[in-house]
Formats: sequence, structure tokens, C-alpha cells
Amino acid sequence: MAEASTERGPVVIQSDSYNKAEDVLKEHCEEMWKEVKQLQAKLVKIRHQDHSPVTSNASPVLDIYLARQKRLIAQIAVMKGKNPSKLPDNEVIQFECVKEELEKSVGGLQDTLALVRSEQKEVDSEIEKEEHFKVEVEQVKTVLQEKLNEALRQQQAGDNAILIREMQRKELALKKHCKKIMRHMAEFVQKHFPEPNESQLAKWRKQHTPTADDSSLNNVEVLPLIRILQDLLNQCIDSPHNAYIDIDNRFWPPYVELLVRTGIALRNPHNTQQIRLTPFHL
Amino acid sequence: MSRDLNQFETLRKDELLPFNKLPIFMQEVMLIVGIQGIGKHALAKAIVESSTSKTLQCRTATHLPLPEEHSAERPRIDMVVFMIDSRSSASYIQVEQSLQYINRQYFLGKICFIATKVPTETQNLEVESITQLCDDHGSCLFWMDPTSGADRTVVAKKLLEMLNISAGLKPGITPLLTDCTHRLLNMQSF
Amino acid sequence: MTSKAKKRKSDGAVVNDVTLAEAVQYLTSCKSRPKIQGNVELQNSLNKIDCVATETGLPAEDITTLVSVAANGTFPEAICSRLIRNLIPATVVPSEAVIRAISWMSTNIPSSKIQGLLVRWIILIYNMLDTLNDLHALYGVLFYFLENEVMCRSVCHLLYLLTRKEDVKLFRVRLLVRLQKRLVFFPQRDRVWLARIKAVADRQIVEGPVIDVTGRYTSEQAKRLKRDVIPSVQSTAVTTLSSDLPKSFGQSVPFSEITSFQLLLQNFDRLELPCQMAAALKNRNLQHVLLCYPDPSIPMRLSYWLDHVLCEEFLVNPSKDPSRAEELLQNLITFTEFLKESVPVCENFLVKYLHVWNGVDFRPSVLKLITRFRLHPFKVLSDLVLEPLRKLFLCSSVYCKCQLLIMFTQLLYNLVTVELLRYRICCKWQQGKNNLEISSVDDSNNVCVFTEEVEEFNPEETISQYVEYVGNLIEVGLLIEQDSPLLMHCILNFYEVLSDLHLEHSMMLIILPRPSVVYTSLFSNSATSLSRMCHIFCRYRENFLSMKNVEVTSLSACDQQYRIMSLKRIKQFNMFIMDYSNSLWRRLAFCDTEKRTIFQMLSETDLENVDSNLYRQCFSLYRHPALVGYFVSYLKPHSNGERRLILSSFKASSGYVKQN
Repeated sequence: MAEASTERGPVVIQSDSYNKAEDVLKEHCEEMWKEVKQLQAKLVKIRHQDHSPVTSNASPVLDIYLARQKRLIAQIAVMKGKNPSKLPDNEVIQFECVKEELEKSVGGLQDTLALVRSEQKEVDSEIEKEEHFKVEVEQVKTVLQEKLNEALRQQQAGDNAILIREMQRKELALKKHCKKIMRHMAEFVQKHFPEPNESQLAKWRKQHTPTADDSSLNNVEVLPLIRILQDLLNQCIDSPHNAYIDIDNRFWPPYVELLVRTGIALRNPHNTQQIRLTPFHL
Repeated sequence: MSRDLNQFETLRKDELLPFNKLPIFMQEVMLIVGIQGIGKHALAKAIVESSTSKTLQCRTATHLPLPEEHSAERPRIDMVVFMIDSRSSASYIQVEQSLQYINRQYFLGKICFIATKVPTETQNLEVESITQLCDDHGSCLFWMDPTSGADRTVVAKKLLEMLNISAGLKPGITPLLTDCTHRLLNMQSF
Repeated sequence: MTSKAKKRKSDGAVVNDVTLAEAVQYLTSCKSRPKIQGNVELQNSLNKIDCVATETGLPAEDITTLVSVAANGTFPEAICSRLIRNLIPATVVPSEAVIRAISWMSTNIPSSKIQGLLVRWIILIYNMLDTLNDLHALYGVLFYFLENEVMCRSVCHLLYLLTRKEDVKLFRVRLLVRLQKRLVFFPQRDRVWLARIKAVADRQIVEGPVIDVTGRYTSEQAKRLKRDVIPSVQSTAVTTLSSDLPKSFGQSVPFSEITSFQLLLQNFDRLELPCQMAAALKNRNLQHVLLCYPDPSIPMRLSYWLDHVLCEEFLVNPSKDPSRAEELLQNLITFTEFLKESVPVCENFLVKYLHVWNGVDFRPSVLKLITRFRLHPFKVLSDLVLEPLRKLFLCSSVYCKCQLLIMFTQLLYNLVTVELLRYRICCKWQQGKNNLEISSVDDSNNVCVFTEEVEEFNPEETISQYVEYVGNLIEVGLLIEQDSPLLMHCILNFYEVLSDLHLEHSMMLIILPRPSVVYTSLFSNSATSLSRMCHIFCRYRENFLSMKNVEVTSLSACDQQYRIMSLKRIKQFNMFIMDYSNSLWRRLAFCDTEKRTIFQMLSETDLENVDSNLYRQCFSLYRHPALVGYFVSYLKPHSNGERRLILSSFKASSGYVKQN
């Protein structure tokens, strides 16, 4: 269009040429409206002849899709038969149409420019970020490789002496720690779960052994709770494959009950006279 | 749901038709159908507010068929929106019944459903039955939070885009053409 | 409640007579079993607490005090229960309060019902605790409460939140397995209660600085605690027992001490991982660990957490304040961008979310996360992800369409650059695993952090069908938006990636752009569309040429088939080129040459009345609407009679590829 205007001089649009253009457009519209009216009348007529049911009993989706297929075929036929429409042979209309089109396009391109700029920025920051990632990951890789090499070297060198010394040091520390917590436990148990005194024992015996003439029971010394715990712990560590200990008459039954009920000890399901420590360490 | 022929004929009389009237110049008309209190008017307001064209009409109805008395003055309806309240099975049944009064031509892209998004404990309708209803009518479904104005505007904007196409205001495109992007309808393209 | 008290309650002014401090003071001073009926002072105090709790939440120290009041058996159950339900924190809950609750529970003074209520309260305010270490120290004690029939479920839920790796012991697992039959899911029964707590928390964020009651936390910290869904790095509590051990004994370094990348590097081989792996979402150092550590339980722990939190934040209990959810998504994006891999539970979540999504909330983040999707069979991808997006595309603004297209382009790019290779290796690994080939099993872990069983399918098929799907949307989108330049820009971006599938991504696949896009560019009035399409053609040409020269015998049967299919498209490609050069160079637009052009826009009868030179030339280089402006500005400095000479120097060049 720019070329056209330089060749023919600037397009000066007079008001009467505008009026003329308007008339052309009006005429065009009238024609189209006539066509619309005709088509609509046709549609109404067709409808009066159409007696197919609206919906069948089942889900209407099949009906709908069939109707859609029909319509699509018709639309394709219309599209195929249609020639591209031309603008009317009026220069004013043509000029205005092209102008409008170009203005729309300029607006769109300005939006696009803004988008491109923001995309550019985003890409820049992404590159920066990725480069940063890369540096970090490479550092991690180098460090891990070094550590691996170091480990392999030590293994080959067979630096056993250092290793053993280190283990011994750890063992000592552990033993010390173990002693300490055992002491804590002993204090706690002694304070809160003392050995049953004679009257308690007598009372219990009276309740549970009605005959009360089993002299063997009377004279046996009752194990303190801490001893039971100690036995349980030792058995658990010394023979993990069979951690059960036998309950004999030195075990005061209420304490055994207590241990089982609180989940500290477990009864042997096959032998009620055996208990073991719950494997807290597994 | 079998009906005898008499009933059938009366039904066809009340049917809503897409092309029985001439369009009004550059005018789009939407009809929103849903039970009382579901927020039809709020949605209609949101649609009119989101619209850039001044020639948009939103009409509402609790159910179909529309009363016969003013049918002459009623403009051609370009699109029907059904609203379903997920809390009430009555609203579902009403929509289901109203669908009987819609001409098949509307199902070629001039129908859409809106279901309300509600907290699970008040949800009375199963999500599956709602989506099934929409699928059975080959129409799309939007979920809308009835308590959120922002959500309403979002749905309103989508409806406007659909209305533009179904009212024929976008040259070269029809609702069916947009449907052709669906995977199931696109087996032998290219 | 007496009628008098009722009246008072409805009258806000009277209730406000009592201050919160007085109310708490009154409740603490009450002797055992006080008079309830008609005790106005008691009712007033309770009402005041009710009021403050609902409106602003209670200060930390009052929560501690009121826990004791509710649990020490002074008041009847109904009042205690009401008090506990009102323990809504304004800022944080001091762990002291929780410790007291559990202490009282251990005494068996509060009834089972109150005990159960206390546990449920702890679950609800779990994320608002100032520190978790104190509560965790009581883990063993809490475990005993599992025996209680009433509390069992709640305690289980609490333990689930609290459990750290070192808590998992055989005897506990055994007990839980025994309980499992009864416990299928944690019931979400305290919705209303949780909603009240959230409402107060949300309000506090909106209203800005919170008055610091405890003096221990700045308001900034308090706010962060409530807002962040993602836990911070917390290592196993150094318990009193192990603190006695010499420091050097346990060689591992707790992760909370890893405060810099350098420290991470130094201690990489002796880290003690934090108890909440979810912290990895915003801790870069931990992400490095995730990449390198072979332990598969680490990503699994993260996945469980993520699954739960995403569901909670977006589907079950979406907060009124979206900033928290947005932050979560942002962290998730950074995380996946770093790993170059999507998290499967996040994919599952997105699928669920897309079906109820309104297309606006969190759009940029949601779309960004979708770009990282793994390769799936096309049917799966289409039904679960692309279908909701298609619906959105068709009824959204041009800007949203562009955002979607940018996302589609990025997804295509990620699929062909990262996911294709990942899929192939995963497949190989899976086959190797089934055949028990240990050597190949070892290699595989390098491609994913989050391993998942992959289905066997043809990845090229997924990609070509995906391109088909996007092509459909592009065609319809161009029609709806009437060839918007903005949309065209995004479309061309897509085809720029697509044109290089063979050369850049070594796929045996070339898919042409849609004719409607090709011709929209040709007839466009913007020079960028035209020239970019020409550039895309150049790329296609290079790709076709290179593919023709591929050593066929080195290809798999499948690739050979795709190669043949792709090369068949040369014919159509040449037609595109013919049309372009006929229009632009030869001034023969719309002409029926011996090689029939694809576009037959105008029938001969239609053109009878038009000057044939005019329409044939109107898309030539110097008349083309997109180029005419450039042409004029090019001629201007030379416009001294040389015009003829310049025009004659334009010559057509044949750029098309000879078909095999």
C-alpha cells in the first residue's frame, strides 16, 4: 500500500467517495441478509418435514454423534464449493480494510515483541542457572571421585594398624558409656521397683498357692528386678539365636508380669516358663 | 422413558430450536438453565461484565420448556448453559428433564454444562454421574466454585469464547471444527 | 448454660468485660469440681477464650496454661473438651504445651475422650510447633498409647508425622503390623476444627506483624512457621543418652550442620540425613545428596510426603491464601528443574488437579510442571493431561493459548532431549532386572532419582501423535484468533523445535508443519512469519538430507520404518517449497504448474476477470504485503533510474530436495 500511495500521490479521501463506499457496503449487506432470510425459511421448512425422534431410550450420545457427522460432511461440502470472497471493487473499502488489517497486525507484533523480550530474559537467566548447576554438580563429582580413590588406596595399602587402634578406641568409649547407662538403670530400678519385702511375698503366696505348704517356695530368695533385666540383656547378646531364659521360682511373678505387660519382655509362645528381652536393637 | 406418540408430538412443540428465528444483527443470546438459588443471575452478571460487546443478552430459566406466552418476543438462543448443583439431586433431575426439550441441533456445539464445586461432605451427586451426563450429550463441563467471584469470572470468560463461536461471530470457524481436535474424532486426519 | 449466661454470650460487650488474662487466671485458680450451673464468671471466661481463639488465636503461653487446665481434671469433660477445641494458636505452639499434654495423659487423670482429643489437637497444630525435638523425645512414650482403643488411630497419625528413620525398629513394626488390620486410613474428621485454625493463621499473615508474646520468636519466624509447608532441615535430635558419647565416635555429621556447599563437599561421605526428606524441596545441598545417594528409600520418603501435602493443599483443604500453595509449587519447579526429572507423585497430582482446574489458578506454575512429564503411551498422556488442556485451549484468550503453546513446545523439547533417553535406559534396565543381569542393573540408577516401573510402548508413536494433537490445536487456534501474530510466533517456535528432531535429537522422525500454518506464513503481512517459515524449511532440508544418508543397516527395524515414513514426506515438503518459490521468486503464485501445487485457492473461472499478472505477482518479493515496506526502503537510496537493473538481478533459486 505504501508503494501505491507514493506512485499515485497521497490518497485523499473525499466525503462523497466515502458515501459511495457506504452505499456499496449497504447493498452488499442487503444481499447477504436476503440470503440469510432465505436459508432460515428453508431450515424451518425442512424441520417441519423432519420426524426423526429427538432422543432414543438409550444414552443420546450416538444420535448426537451421528448428527455431528452429518453436519460435518455438509460443512466440508460447503467449504469445498466456496470460493474465497473478494473485497468489493471500491478503493475506499479496500484501503480501509487493508489499513485495519495492518493496524491489527502492528498491535499484535508489538505484543509479540514484548513476549520475545521477556522470553529472552528468561532464557538468559535459565542459562545462568544451568551453568551454576553444572559447576556445582561437577564439583560434587570431583570430590566424590577423590573420596573414592582415597578409600580404594587405603584398602590396598592395608592400613590395618590404624584401623585396629581406631576400633579399640571406639570399643573403650562404648564400654565406658555402657557402664554408665547400666548404672543409671540400676539406680532407677532399685528406686522404683525394690525387692518385695516379706509381707508382700507372704501375701502373694497366700493368694496364689492355697495349699501353702510348699516349703521350697518359702525359702527361695527372690531375684531383684535388676538381676532379671541383667539376665535378659546378657542372654540377648550372648546367644541371640536363643535369647529365652527359664523362669524358676526365684522370679517373683508380679515382676515377670510387669515386664511382659510393658512390652520389655516377651513370653515364649511354646513355653510359658520362658521369657526373652524384646529385641529393641533390631 | 417410553412415551406414546401424542406426548411425543406435544414435546416437539415445546422444543427449543436454534434456527426457528432470524438472528439479530451482531447479537449473541445465551440461556442459563438451573434450579433456583444456584447463582444463575450472578453468573449472568459476570458474563455481561466480562463481555466487550454491548450486544450480549443473558437469559435465565429454572427449567425447560420455556413458557409459551412470550415465545414470540424471545430472541434466537445461540447457546444453552445448564447449571448443576452438586449438593442437590433435584437440580440434576431438573437438568436431565430439561434436556428433553432441546433440539438435537443444539448438541452440535451449542450446549455446555456447569457443575458447582462444593466441599466433599456436602457433595450429594457423584462426580461420575455428572461427567457421564455431559459425555452422553457430547458437551463440555466446567466446574465452578459458587462462593468465589473470581472463579465465576473465569467461567464467564470461557463461556463467552464458546458463545462467540456458536453464535457464528468468528469467521471460518464452527463449534464442530473445534471438536475435531479431540483425539477420538481424529483417527484418520492428515 | 443458664439463660442468663446465654444472654450474656449473645451480647458481645458484656463478654468483653473480662480480659483474656483474667479469664485464664480464673480458670487456673479454680479448685477441683467447681460449681458449673449458673457460674457466670466461669461462663464469661470460657466465652472470652472462645472469642479470642476464633478471632486472633491464643498467645503461646496461654496455650500452655490452658492445656494443663483442660487436662488436670478440675473441670468436667464437656468444659475440658470445649477448652481443647479452642486451643487455636495465634503464632506458634510451644512444645512445652505438648509435653504437658502428654504428661497429663500418662497420669490417666484425664478421661480417654479428653486424651484422644489432646492427641487430635497435637496433630492439627503439628506444623505450628516451635520445635519438634522435644515431642520426638517422647516417641517411645507415645508408642504405648497405641494400646488404647480410643486413641489408637490418632496416635498412629501422630506417630506417622513424627517417625524418623532411627525410630523404625522391628518390635514397633511388629506391633503396627498387628494393628494394621484395624487401621486403613487416617480419618479426616477434624475438618471444621482445622478450618478454624487455618482461618486464624491466614488472617495473621494478612494482618502483618504479630505481637510477639513468648519473646522467644520474632514475628517473622512465627509467620514463616505457619506459612511454609515444606519443613526445614532438622536432624535427629541429639538425645541425652548419646550426647554423652564422645563426639568423634559417630562419624556422621548431622545435616543441619551442613550450612554451605563447601561443608557439603567436605562431608559428602558421612552425612546423617535429616528426618524430613521434604526439606530437599528447598535445600540445594540436600538435592545434591538426592542425586548421588543410592538409597531408594530417600526419594520414596519424599514422595510420600509430597503426595500427601499436594493433595491436602490443592484438593482437600485449599487455603484461602494462595501464596503458600504458590510457594510450594515454585519450590517443586526449582527442584524438578535441578533434577531434570518429574516426580511421579507430582504427575499423579497434576492429573487429578487438571480435571478440576479452572485454568487460571497457578497457571504458570502448573504449566511449567507439566512440561516435565515423562513419556507415557499416547492414550494415557492424552486422556489424563492433554484432554483437559485441549478444552482449556479452545475456550481461552489468545494469551492463554500462547502460554499453552509455549508449554507444548517445552514439553516436546523435554520429551525428545531428556525423556526419550531416560525411557530407553529404563526399559533396558527393567528387562535386565527381569533377566537378572546384575551388571546392567547397576548402570541404570543413573537416569532417574524417582524410579518407576515403565510400560512398554513405542515412544516415537507417542511423540508423533503428540505433534499431531498440537497440530490440530494450532490449526483451530489460528482460525479462532484470526492469524494473531502473537500466536503465530508461538506456533513457529514449536515448529522450530520440531524441524530438528533428526539432527538435534537423533530421532528417525521428521514431521512436517501443517499446511495451514505454512500458507498462513506465506500470505502473512508480517515479515518475521514469512522469513522464519523459510528458515524452518532450511532446517527441514538439512534434516531430510542427513536422514537420507543414514546407514540403514545400523538402525533398528522400528527406526527403519520411521525413516521410510519420514522420507515419504519429502514429496509434500517439495510442494511447499515449490509454492514458496513460485510465489516469491517466480511471480507465479496460484499457477497450475506441471507439478501440481497444493494450494488451489482460486479457480480459473474466478480469476477470469482479474488481470492474471496482478494476482501472480502480488506475492512476489517486491510486492508481498510483508516485504513491500522493506522493498521501498531498500529502493529509496538507489532510486535514480537503476530500478530496472536491481529487479532483474532477483533470480529464482531452487531450494527443494530431490525426492528419492
